[in-house]
Amino acid sequence: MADFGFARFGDDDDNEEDDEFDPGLRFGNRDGLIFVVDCNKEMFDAEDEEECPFRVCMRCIKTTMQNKIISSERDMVGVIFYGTEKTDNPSDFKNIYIYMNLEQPGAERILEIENMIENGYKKFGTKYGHNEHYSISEVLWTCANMFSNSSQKINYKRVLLFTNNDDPHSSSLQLQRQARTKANDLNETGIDLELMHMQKQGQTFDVSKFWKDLIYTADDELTELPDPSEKLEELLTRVRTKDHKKRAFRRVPFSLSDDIKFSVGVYNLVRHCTKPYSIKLDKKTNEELKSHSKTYLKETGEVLMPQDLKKAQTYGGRKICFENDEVTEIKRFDVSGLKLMGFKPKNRLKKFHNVKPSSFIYPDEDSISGSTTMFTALLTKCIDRGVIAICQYIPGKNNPPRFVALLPQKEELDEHKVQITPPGFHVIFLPFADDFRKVTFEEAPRATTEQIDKAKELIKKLQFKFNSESFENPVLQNHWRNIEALALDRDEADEMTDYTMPNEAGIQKRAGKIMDEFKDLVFPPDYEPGVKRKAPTSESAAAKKQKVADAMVEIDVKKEAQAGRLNKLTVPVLKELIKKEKITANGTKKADLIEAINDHYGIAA
Amino acid sequence: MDHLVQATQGKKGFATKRLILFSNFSQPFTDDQVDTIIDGIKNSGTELNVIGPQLNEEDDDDDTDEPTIDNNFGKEKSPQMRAGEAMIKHILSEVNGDSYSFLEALPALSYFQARQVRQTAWKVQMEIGTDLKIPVCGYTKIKDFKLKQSWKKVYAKDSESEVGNLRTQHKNDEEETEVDPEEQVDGYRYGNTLVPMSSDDKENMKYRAVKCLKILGFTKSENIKRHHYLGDGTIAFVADKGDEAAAVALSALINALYETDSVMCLLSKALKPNDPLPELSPLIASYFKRPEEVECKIMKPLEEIKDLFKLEIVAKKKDEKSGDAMFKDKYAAAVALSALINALYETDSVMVARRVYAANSAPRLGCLLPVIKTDYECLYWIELPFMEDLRQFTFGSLPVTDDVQTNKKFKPSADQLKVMDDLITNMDLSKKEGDEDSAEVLKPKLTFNPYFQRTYQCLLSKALKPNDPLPELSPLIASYFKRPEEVECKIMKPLEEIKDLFKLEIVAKKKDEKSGDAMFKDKEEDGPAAKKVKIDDDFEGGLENIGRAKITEVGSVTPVEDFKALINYRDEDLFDKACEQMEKTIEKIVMDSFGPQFYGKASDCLKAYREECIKNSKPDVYNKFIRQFKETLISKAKRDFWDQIVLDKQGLISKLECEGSKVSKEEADALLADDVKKEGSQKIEEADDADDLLDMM
Repeated sequence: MADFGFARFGDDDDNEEDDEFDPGLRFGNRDGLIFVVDCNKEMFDAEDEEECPFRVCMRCIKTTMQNKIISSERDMVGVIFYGTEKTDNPSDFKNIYIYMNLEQPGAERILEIENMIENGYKKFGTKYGHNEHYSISEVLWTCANMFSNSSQKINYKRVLLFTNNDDPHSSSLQLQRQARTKANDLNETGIDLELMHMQKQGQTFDVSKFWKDLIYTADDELTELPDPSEKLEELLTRVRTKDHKKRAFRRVPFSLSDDIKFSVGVYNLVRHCTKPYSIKLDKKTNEELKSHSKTYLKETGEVLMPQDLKKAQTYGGRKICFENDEVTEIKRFDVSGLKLMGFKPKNRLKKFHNVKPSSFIYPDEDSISGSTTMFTALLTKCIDRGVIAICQYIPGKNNPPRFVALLPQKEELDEHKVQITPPGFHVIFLPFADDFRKVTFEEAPRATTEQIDKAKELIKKLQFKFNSESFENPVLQNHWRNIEALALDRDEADEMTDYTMPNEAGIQKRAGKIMDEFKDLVFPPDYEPGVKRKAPTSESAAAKKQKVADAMVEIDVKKEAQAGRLNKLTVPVLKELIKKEKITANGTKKADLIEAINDHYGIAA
Repeated sequence: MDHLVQATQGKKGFATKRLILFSNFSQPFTDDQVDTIIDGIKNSGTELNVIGPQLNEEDDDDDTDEPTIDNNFGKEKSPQMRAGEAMIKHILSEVNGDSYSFLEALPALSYFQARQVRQTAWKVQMEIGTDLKIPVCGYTKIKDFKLKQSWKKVYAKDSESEVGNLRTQHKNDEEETEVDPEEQVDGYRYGNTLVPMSSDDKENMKYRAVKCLKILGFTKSENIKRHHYLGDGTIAFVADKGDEAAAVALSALINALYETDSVMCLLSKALKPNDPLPELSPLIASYFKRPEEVECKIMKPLEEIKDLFKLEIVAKKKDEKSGDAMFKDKYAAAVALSALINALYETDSVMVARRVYAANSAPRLGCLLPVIKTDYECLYWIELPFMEDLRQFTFGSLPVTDDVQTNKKFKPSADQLKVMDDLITNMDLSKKEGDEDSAEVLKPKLTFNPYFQRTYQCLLSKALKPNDPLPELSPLIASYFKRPEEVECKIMKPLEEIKDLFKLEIVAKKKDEKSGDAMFKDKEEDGPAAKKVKIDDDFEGGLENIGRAKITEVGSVTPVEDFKALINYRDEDLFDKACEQMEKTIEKIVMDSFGPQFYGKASDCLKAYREECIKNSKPDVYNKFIRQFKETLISKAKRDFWDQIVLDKQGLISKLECEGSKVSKEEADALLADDVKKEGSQKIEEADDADDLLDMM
């Protein structure tokens, strides 16, 4: 990020805890999603070709893949067609075609699907054909197999089934039964099946005929399946943002005293979301390169092992050396955890005390039972009394302590009873004396009531309800669009709206008049912001130039030099003269210039 | 003295010059140069501190209540020393230096001083719309301070020899061929696609921004959540003085006033809270017992500064020709800003703005909060998150109020709440009304970062005695982590009660099969960020399998996974054991199944089993099992599962599928086929039976 005014000293001191260390990402925490698309003939029928259900499906798949690549690139996606003439699956089930195996999506797949949406669908009949003799049970079976045969560990498994046929096995009770059984198996093995039903033209999709028994929703009360159009819409929305799985950043004890401890989970609810790291590729093969790093002795080139190294800081030209574990030991003060120091009224937490983004704590009943009750008692009382708890916080055993203020947070719900802010404590990091900078404020005049009132009018005109959700980071959005354009070989990146740019026309329209009035009130008539006011005696550069030019007209250099009057001329004039007469001077000082001119005309000074 | 002057003469980099004189005044001295010295100190703007025996303070009323400890270690002061004292006192009063006794200086020096950063202005025009522009200056008010130096690697045997660090890139082939930097290109991942991006591409595609501070609009301060603050600091914005010459003159004046002796005369005592070298102030030595609030203290001095400045400004104004008009001009920005600040304050609003530090740096979103103090007005900039920076996690409701139904079993009782209330009452760290002695404990402005203090302490110790182990944590730092004694006494009772009233029990870690994975993750989370472990995508048996290796048998919950984990267990060949268990599990699932209830699962197991046998070239194991299994199924009336096997084509492994097999394709087909024929007619009937069973359930 842009540091304010000061360069960072050397490489970052490693005492900072690695906020973004995400074990979930590195230990195979991925989700799997299989799209299953019914390919009966009617899926390709539509008055408007754009709206043909099959193409809508493919568009959904495409956007979902594109979103996944950005939000959680390690997730795996697969696509299965059924009701095709062609058959391709490991169990040789009839009329089931695995279009795309369960893999991490990439540019290739997106281009392939895009091609299918643009042209491929027209030839679908000839390439894949249509055949109604499939079994939904086998379709589901294929899905289950795809999940279980995956070489990766998959956390959350989901199947999205697109169809416009509300009763595929109307003639066979057996096939219906098998489908039900298989759906049950899926549910038991933790695979979610979701139906994306699409209506045939002029018909309604009767879920109760067949599909209802296959869908297992967690909520027993849900009898009506939601309107699919909303779900489709959601699938078609492009979202370019990283997805964060809810996970406690760490679990630490919270101690009131040496023998009273409960446990909390620490969560990060707000952190800078950064651009993804770049990797090194081989220019020729586009192959990813592995990075090796070694430390060596400059004199001999000898490669040094960690045990050959010490760490040092230089003071007064002398290196003060420490063993590696001594450096760690310096950072080690106590075991990790929060330790209650006491309470202060809420107003002691100053608005400008900002050194680090906050964290959030919530009781962790799994480590110490009874934590929730004690946490709730503390939270309740802190809210009642309007106090903040001051704690010493050591995030990990190798992290130095910081003092934090625990800001009690009531649960906040929106009108739909959806949680906006969870209940718990915000952990606000307090600055140390070292973090304060001395700022000297200078005397400045204060505004008059009239001026203030005008400003208030302005504020009223330009007021809005701020919410971070409405501001995307233009740098990230731009980055993703570019990567996408390069990967998919597009001519230009998707258009982006920069929400951090003010709507200047809008501001002008709403408050232009007030701003003018405000300016009249506070600024002197000819005020130009930012223009450096010169002392009354000094002139503008243009005027100076003119003056030099005027002077030049009248001056005969040789004559002036001979008369010894060069000293009376100003430096700009002298410079101009030198330039005109093509004299080479050894310096820019007045004496140098005069000397050069005198030399030129052979006059002894 | 001359030495310092010469050393610093002509070098403009020094912010302050300071002379610290250690002396017990026992050496003879001459006074013929005293006046020269005093003049020298005054003229060069040097601050003089003397550390020595306690000076006789008979003429100083302020310090009469200070304990008069004989600092000369019990020795009578010699006449020589007395003369020296008188002399130094004369100098001190002339140059307005300070003196400290050894006793005062020692604890004060235990605090290591923070690097003082000179205030640097970030100048920009604050824009509202296209028309309204106010030139402002931003000064860092708070910033997360880093250690002055980072730890550098040095060679253990000879710390003076230079150590280099070389990073090389290698191909993923057997020789690990090194690739020249010219042959490399930066790339990004797009899913599993690697997208190369040349530096030209990067340059062309970069998001471009110009330096700015653009106001997006105003919003009520309640819309800014305290816990959304981002970044590592706060910036105070004040109006730029439209006139640069005047600004420079003023700033020069302030610096001059600040540094010259004559002004120090008025300010030296009062300015101590803001003294650039706080460790010498005896006030700070008594850390927790500081009797007065800093804010209170600086009010007066700042008031004094104001008076001083005013005088000088008036004088300055006289020099210039245009009097009032100039003044208005000069402060136009200040007036505009003041109007805005006051308006924001009165309407309880803040400004939301886009801030770009310099051309092409990333834009930041943030707010400007109005600050009005008796002696200054400014805006505090605080960075706020973008949509991408927020993580919306949902947490269960907590029974804070009576109407919360969720988690009701965790609701604290009235007694529990009462005792927590007592605890809060007795643990008040803020200053009490009318009680001057108990200042606010752990006031951020007065609490030094213990890590820095510890580091400096260790550096000092190592510099003096390189081979000694690290020193003990200094008691001064250790005292930070202790609650004040009187608080500790007061909370004894409530804490006892809390212990009785709340039941807290450490939950023993469950020892289930999966715990391997969980344990591993926990460790990773606590420990230092371990080296990035990369799991190759198509590589079985990465770290996740080490976690899984705890699995010792094929359970009935996730038999396929268990089975695979066992087979892939690297340290030991568990193939036979795994097969044996898998067979048992399959049989068990089928036999336990009510109707075809669990057949799907059993089929999956069977498929996995068969596949693994083929992969591991052990077809005989499977073939032997499937033959037996067929008989078992038929004899135990589970024929319908055999049908399933036939349907799935999970019969014998033939030579075609696996080389090691002794079974021909025909033989394999036969085992499946002879049943299909027999089945035919019965099949539908049986299916209906199963249906009936299901219906009855």
